[in-house]
Amino acid sequence: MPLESNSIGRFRFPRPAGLDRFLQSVRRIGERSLVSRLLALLMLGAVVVYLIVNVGLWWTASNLIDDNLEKQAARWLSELDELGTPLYASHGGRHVSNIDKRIRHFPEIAFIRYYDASGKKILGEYGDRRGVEIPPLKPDQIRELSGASGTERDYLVDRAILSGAYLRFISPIRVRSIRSDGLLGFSLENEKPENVKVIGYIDLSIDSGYYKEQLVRSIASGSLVIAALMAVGLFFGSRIIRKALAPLTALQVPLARLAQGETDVNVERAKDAEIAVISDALNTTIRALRDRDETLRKMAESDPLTGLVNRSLFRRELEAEIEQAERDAVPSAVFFIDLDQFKYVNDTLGHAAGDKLLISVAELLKSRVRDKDVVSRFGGDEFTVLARNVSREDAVELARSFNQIMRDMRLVEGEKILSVNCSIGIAMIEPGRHSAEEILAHADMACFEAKSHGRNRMHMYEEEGEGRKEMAMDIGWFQHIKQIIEQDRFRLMYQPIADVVHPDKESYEVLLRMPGPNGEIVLPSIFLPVAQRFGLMTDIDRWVIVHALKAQADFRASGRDAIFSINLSGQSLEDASILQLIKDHLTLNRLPPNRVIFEITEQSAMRYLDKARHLIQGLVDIGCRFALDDFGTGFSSFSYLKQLPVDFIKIDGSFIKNMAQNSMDETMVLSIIQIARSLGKQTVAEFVPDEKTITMLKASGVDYLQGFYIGAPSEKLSVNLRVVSKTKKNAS
Amino acid sequence: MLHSMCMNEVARGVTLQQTFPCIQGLVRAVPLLFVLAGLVTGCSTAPLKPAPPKPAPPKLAPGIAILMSDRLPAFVGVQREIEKRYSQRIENYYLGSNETANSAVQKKIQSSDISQIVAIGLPAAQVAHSLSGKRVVFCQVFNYEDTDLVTSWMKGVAATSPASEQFRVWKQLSPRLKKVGVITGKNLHALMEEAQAAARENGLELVHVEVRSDKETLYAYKQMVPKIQGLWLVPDNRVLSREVIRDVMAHSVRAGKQVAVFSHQLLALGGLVSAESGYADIAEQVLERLKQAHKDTGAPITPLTRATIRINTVMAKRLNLPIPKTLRGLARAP
Repeated sequence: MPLESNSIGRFRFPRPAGLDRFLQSVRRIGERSLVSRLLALLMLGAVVVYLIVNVGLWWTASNLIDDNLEKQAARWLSELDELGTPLYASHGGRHVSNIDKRIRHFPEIAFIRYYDASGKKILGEYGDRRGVEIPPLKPDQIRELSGASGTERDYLVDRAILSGAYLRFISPIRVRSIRSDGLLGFSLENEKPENVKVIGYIDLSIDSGYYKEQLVRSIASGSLVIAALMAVGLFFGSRIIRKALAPLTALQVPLARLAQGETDVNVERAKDAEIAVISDALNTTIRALRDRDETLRKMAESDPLTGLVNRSLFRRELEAEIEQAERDAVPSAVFFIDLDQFKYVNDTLGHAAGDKLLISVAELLKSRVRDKDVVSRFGGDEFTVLARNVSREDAVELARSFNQIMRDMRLVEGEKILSVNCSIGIAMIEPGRHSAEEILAHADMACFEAKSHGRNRMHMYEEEGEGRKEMAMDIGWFQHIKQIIEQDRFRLMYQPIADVVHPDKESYEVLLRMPGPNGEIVLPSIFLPVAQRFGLMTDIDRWVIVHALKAQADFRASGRDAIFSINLSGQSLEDASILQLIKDHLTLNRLPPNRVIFEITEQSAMRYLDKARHLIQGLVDIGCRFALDDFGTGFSSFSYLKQLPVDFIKIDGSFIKNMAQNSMDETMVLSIIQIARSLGKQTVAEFVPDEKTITMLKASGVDYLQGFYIGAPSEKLSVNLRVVSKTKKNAS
Repeated sequence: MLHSMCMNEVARGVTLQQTFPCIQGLVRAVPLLFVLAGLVTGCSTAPLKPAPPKPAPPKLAPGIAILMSDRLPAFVGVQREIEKRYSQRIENYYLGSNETANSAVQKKIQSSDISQIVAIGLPAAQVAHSLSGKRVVFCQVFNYEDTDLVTSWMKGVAATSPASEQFRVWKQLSPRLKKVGVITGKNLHALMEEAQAAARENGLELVHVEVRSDKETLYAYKQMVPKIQGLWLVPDNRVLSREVIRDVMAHSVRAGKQVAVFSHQLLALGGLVSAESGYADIAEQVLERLKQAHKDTGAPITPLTRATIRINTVMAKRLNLPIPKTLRGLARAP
């Protein structure tokens, strides 16, 4: 899967389409909304109340129906007692009774029976359900109702007939008469007992199911009404809740934006006291975050030593100024300032003095420019200045003033007085002519011209000048390199590094190759300087890291447990994300960190010592190892070896390739090996040319050998037969 | 005819003695007439042989025995009135609820030398009915026909006030009254004959329905209501219960019917006119009946001569019946 490049040329693995949307939807499932929770609780409570109300209604109404039916039955019994009189007054009195007519309007009356005094003979039957099998009166019922048991009851209720479908009421029909002398001297208050005689029984059955069906229908329709009312209530309730919680939900959008990393958010102060506290706290936090972001941005965009803007910010300012110049048609100028002999100060007086000098230079430059101009620390001892809206003449004047103030600068360090000069290259920004990289390259070239003409001077870049052709070529290479990066067409090759003691161990240096415009293979020595000039080294390094680690994982999967050495440029030391990139891809490819060695040249390390130390330590902390490449070409001080946690010293090939013939080189190599060993570091000899040199190196105690003679770079991991055999041969 | 004349006078609520002084003379003359008739008969026939000696009449111990069914005020009141009016010996006997005690009382009376018994109330009349060699007059018994109390030696006095008097006042109060219903049990022929006559006399049609229970009373009344203007409620305990009395009265009030009742108490339930007999009247008729002794071949029941009538002014107003001046003395607001 090809790497994607973002807007600033960083590489990343592309996400599958739709993955972001899917992840977002998954996150939403797990989220809970306060409003939804309140509404859910409200709905749950409403449903519970609804069920309780319905159950309560059913139970209460059911009992009420039974009670009412019983009371109504008592009234019916009284009425039926009177209506049934013809049955007892004459034989066949049914035809004169109005019972059928009377009960027609009461469908709940299942049937009515009139029994004679014995309770066995039926004198009359009424009701549309009188055909139902009804059990006859029981003797104990007759006994109880007739008063034979000593109690006189108005009626009995039998709830068990037909499995409780009917309520059965049995009532005695009694005739009473006043005692023979009771009407003499009649008094309404006279409560003397009367003569009572039971002449029959009424058997009344009521279909409570009729009412209960009505009840169910009523409850059902009532439930619908209640449900509708509850739905309306829920609807308005939800509105009210949403409105009440609106101050809280209003916080959602600004919080979401804050979570996205946006700090230009303002939370409106709520009117409710409780929410106002939250919104105030949020605004305070947002301000603090904004300030911190500003601080971090400034830190990310500024040089920590001098406080000047760094390369990336300067480039952005330059791009903006180019667009502005195109709109305003007013020229501006870029100055590329390189301190002359800065390395001498660093070497002689130490790193601290060199930092002081850089700080002083930065302050001088800033004091000399206007507020709207931009001063940046471009590199180790390189500074750039963007002077807005200046003419060619003003630019030259300004450059001369820079030279002068540098000449006049004196820095006291201990007993020494420091001063440096500078070489300045000027490139004018002419509207619509060149890109930011080109202008910087022009200024760089002009600076180079100034240096080559004796330093301590300035030089204006001219289009028709000698460097134009070279510049055009460099720009061509720049564009080609960019294209190769975008098209992912770099190629990696692997040069074996032979372990003197353990020849079976596989170790390779990863080398970069670029296909040229005509398909030819272009060596790094050709395109890397252009890449460095145009700031593409970081992108190249990232590409190499990603692909080299992937390739190493593939080789491991096929059974080749090789150690890889990967080169890092000095510019990568300024990339704070490079360490995380390495960590991520070690994890992604499941590579043991100790199988990866990173190399950085001695010069780069010295030039960016602090950053180098930080990066090296970071890599060592995760288990990787570090090698100092091209060692010996920088300076003769070994003190930095103690400060840098490197594991390997790669002796520069210039010492190795002639050591068999040059005793000075031999002595250098020997010294480097001895010092490295005393510091606990291993050594690698580069550019080993022949057997004699191998012998000498082995005798000197070198740990590793590398060179075309040992093994040529290849796109596949070669089996170091020659190396193994040779070392074995040499060992024997 | 004489009897009718007398009865008419009785119906008017006045004493015979007051209205027909000749009656008194007639009464006294009756025995003389019998004697004369006998003499004539004896004289008109062939030479009389000497008549066989007539048996000597039994020796009648002076005094009466009063046998009380109960100590109800209705019985005690009559007893006291009798005691007020009877100067000779009175023996009072009381029945209870115990059959054995009652039997003892019966034996005691039987063994008593008093031959005239006054039985007050149906139970006393029934006990007296089983006595022999005694002469009994019963009173305060409504359903005497039902129990066949009347014999040659046992007669009675009416328990209810004269219907004619009640109907007369009623008709005077309600001139438009024409049809009146009456519901009784069976075996009240004499009372119904009297009532029918009284009704005809006062221009009323009496519709009589016989029932067998209080339940039928109410039912029959409700059936009857559309056809009548009033109800004559007679105190037939066999077919009345307190509940039915209340129901009938309530139904009457709702239906706007006039009810003539047998007790002043019932005016409060919606009765229009009430008529009660007095204890004094009963006592007088009892004593009078006793005087007839062995010669009593009169009607089985001696009617009462007067009635205490009351008119319910509230019901009269409700029924739009103005009370005539002559009856205002009878008006009461219960």
